[in-house]
Amino acid sequence: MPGNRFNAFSDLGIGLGLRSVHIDHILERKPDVNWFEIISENYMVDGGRPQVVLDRILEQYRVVQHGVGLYVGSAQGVDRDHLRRLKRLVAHTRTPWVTDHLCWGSVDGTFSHDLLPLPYTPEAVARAVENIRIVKGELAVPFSVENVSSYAEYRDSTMTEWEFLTEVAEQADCGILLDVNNIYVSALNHGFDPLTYVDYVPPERVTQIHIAGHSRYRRFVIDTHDHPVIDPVWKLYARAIERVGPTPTLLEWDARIPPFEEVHAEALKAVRYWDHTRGRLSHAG
Amino acid sequence: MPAEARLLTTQRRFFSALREPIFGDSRGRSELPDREGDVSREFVRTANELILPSALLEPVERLELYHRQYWYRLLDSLAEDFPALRRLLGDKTFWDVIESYVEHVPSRSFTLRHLGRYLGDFVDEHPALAPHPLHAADLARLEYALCEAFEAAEHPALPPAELAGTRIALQPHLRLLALRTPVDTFRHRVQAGRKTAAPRPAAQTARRFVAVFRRGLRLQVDRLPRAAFEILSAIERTGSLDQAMDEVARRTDLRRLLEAARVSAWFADWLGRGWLVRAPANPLALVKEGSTT
Ligand SMILES: [Fe+2]
Repeated sequence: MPGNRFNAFSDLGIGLGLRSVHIDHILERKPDVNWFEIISENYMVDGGRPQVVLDRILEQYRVVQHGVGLYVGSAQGVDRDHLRRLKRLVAHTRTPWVTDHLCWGSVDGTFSHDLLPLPYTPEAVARAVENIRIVKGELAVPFSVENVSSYAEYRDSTMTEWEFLTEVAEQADCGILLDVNNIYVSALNHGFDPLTYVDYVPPERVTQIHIAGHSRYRRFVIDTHDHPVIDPVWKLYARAIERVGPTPTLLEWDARIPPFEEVHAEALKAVRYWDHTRGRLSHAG
Repeated sequence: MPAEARLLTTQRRFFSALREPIFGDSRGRSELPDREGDVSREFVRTANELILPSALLEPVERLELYHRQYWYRLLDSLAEDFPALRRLLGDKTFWDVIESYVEHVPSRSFTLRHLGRYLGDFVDEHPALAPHPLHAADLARLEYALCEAFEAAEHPALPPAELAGTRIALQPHLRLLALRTPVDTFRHRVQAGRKTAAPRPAAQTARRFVAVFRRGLRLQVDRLPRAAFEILSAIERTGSLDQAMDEVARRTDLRRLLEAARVSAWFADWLGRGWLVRAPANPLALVKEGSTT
């Protein structure tokens, strides 16, 4: 049985992030894509072009919702209005599962529009777990949290990021959207071994995997999503697939976006690792 | 400090640091004009108390990565939503104005699409920021109305037979603006890629009334006769044709305009364009998304 209870036992294969520069191409050429990931907040509108585009995509493709605004790590709790808007969109798109980031981004009603890192403390675990339980209680589909990339570590942290992510997912009983590029970016910024991270995460909770490119500067790495996936990230991906098995995978390309075919071809490279895993499994068997 | 309050304190301190103005090197490769200065002592204290150094970066440098990202993201979003205002003000003044705006009016919505909501009011309250403050404030309101119209709902047009006696409302994507300056023409020229002359000082008496709306998915800006604008505004306020017409008829300043006008032809036109709709059963549903967040 492919998949697990956090991704509705789906075998969706390789998907792409739906980006506005590609929409005309997609609607005209109807490329053969298994599924598109949409940013939920971009479609929390009452009408107009965003809604019409979404409906036309929904006529032809499976869509999975990925959010950037729930902020389940917020010390002040999740915004109920936001949750209501999310719920309405979930009913409309029939997304098989919903994801958002394990981070915070607003305080006292003011928004950063960023995915800010959390201190890895028991208090932050408790807060995130409480928030995720509220989200799970409202949504009719499974919910997963994604690991964010980060450029800072807190003095307060008493555990590693992988311990924190696992603790939250297990206590809240939710899935994990494992972003292997984010792991790689954070590993370079903070000086840990990314394989330790991938090897620690409970495979039975991994709903989906994100792959992406990034920008490396002299003294730090920024998660820019504006390049092809580099080899070390593919290696992490291969390791994740080896542990988790074939898992719905999505390529994120958000800036300096090349033509659709180029992005699609980059995403499809992921299949190599699936076949490779299957090959190994069958040899082993 | 009790353990359960620590996360909130951390998030508040981190966020206050992000909201500080950016100076010097942080403006680096961005388009922002130079601004001398440095982060505050409080910023440095926050960084040192909250964040660990890495092998290559000091805590302050790590916090500055988020600080820059915060500013660039918000300012870029405004630059995307207000292209004509940018042309009117020129790059340097434009960045100064929106930077000052974000400093005073941070985002209060889950989406950046609402960030420019108060830009027109802000420019009116800070006229010294822009060389043509009336034009700039008008243009900010016009471009924000376009952003709103872009993603507002479209309700079915009111059947003509229901015009009288039903609670009516304006089409959600229709926005009415009373401008003090001819910025609709200015924006039109910018959009058409034509040359734009520097604006002339505005005469306060010459108001222009415009409707911003969608036709299908296309945005449109049309001038309205003053009396037409007043009738539509009264419908928006009262939700009833009778009350709106009574209200307008009582205004002595409009009487002459109304006598000369072909009001019934206007209504036929508005019904044809779908500008009038049935009022939603729940009046709160008319409150626009985002205004409550
Ligand atoms: Fe991601």
